[in-house]
Amino acid sequence: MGKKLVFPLACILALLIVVFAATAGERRELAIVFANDVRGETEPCG
Amino acid sequence: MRSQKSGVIAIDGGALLFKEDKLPGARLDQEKATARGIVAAYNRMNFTALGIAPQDLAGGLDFLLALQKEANFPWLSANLVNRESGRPYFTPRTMVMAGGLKIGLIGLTGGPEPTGSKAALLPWEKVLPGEIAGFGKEVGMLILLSSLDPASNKKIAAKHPEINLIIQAGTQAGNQPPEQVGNSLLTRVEPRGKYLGIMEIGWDPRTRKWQDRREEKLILDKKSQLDSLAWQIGRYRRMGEPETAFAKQPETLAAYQDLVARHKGLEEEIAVLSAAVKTQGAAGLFDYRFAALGKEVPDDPAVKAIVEETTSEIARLGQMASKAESGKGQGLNPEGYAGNGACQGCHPAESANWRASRHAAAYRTLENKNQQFNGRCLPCHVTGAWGLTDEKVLGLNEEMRGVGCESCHGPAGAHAAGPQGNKPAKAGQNTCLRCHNQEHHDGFNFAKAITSLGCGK
Repeated sequence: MGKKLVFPLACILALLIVVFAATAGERRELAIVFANDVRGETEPCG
Repeated sequence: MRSQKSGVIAIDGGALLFKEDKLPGARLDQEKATARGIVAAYNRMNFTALGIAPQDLAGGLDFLLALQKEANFPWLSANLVNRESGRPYFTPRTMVMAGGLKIGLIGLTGGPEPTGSKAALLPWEKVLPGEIAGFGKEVGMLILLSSLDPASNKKIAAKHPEINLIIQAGTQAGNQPPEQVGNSLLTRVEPRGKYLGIMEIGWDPRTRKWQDRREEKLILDKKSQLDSLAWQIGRYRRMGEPETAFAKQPETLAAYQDLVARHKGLEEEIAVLSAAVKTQGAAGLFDYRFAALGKEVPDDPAVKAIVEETTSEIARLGQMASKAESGKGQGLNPEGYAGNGACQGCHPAESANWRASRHAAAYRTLENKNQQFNGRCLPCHVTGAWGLTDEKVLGLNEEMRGVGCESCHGPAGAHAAGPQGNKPAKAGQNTCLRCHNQEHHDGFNFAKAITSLGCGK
């Protein structure tokens, strides 16, 4: 039974390695919003 | 944006809560109410972190420490410390998750060091390396919120390539597009809610490097030169095969051959640069814009409610202060002023022009917004405020409402008593710029304005 599992396990492991290698260099997307003060507060007068 | 992207953080470099380093006594309560409103609004907008600038201490350190407890986000300063113990008053650094990235944030407060206070400012050289090391290898990106001067921020960028982005704050300067210094991008948004800075980033936490865009720009320049050379070469070739067509014109042939050689050289340079750009691998990319927060941008109803509540509180505090001043018998004109009605008898045409102008309506515009007791607004919407304490401005009588003749020409009490002498001065540009400054009237043109006022001579 053990011998029958070796090949599928090896395939899964190989697949994981491929996926990891492919995604390791991927860029992550991020948006940075930077502000100062609240609009409306800055124009209270008129 | 949050509904469209998985990783969004909102940060502020500082100088958020107060606009001046020192606040006059009468306005202090109003400014503190404003600061509380701003924190409530930032909570509503789910801000991630806030830096602390020296202006934020204008309401006092104790006030700031108490206000921090109302915030849902950390206030960062690694170098604002207790003078005796050396311990920082605020969180020096924090880490957040966004877009699958661990992002480290550090705060640095700029000078001047608060005087007469138990707080001291440590130099960034002393605190920053430790804070960076404190993140270990966990973080995928490191951001500094700094109200240090720009020159110091550049030194930090040059010395610490581990810092990937520096959000600058604490000056009145306008928007600064991201500038790369070493491996750091330095940027700044104009203060006072006029713009929102937005950076959309593609980032590889393993390399933690920005793509060097200078090479891309160089490639574009060289391609443009290549196109120009190709066009010039084409003109020669339209005459026929140049080696044959210009066989008896050696100078023309030499000029053609020079163009061809330069074209080939440029092609080789572009190839080398393109190969270099490719080898940068998964370097970080970014795009940016500064979104103007004009009136066309819709309000968030909850934030609008906070602003309105804050406005009402400011008005309530100002009204109390105004009544207190009026109760002291301060309801007279400021010394030397005749009041808005005094000019009409001798200058009916000019007075009529004035009454139809926006200057005459300046106090009413405050009333329309329930801001007629706002000590920050009043000096530019009444007459005779300059040189008075904020308490006295709040207590000015009705005669001084609006921007009257004496706002531009100076006190005219002596002139009203003896018209032949004591003639008031003509209004100069500096008088107007006290109120029509860049913050309130960007692009003010004195020559046009003085003509359109129609006050006469």
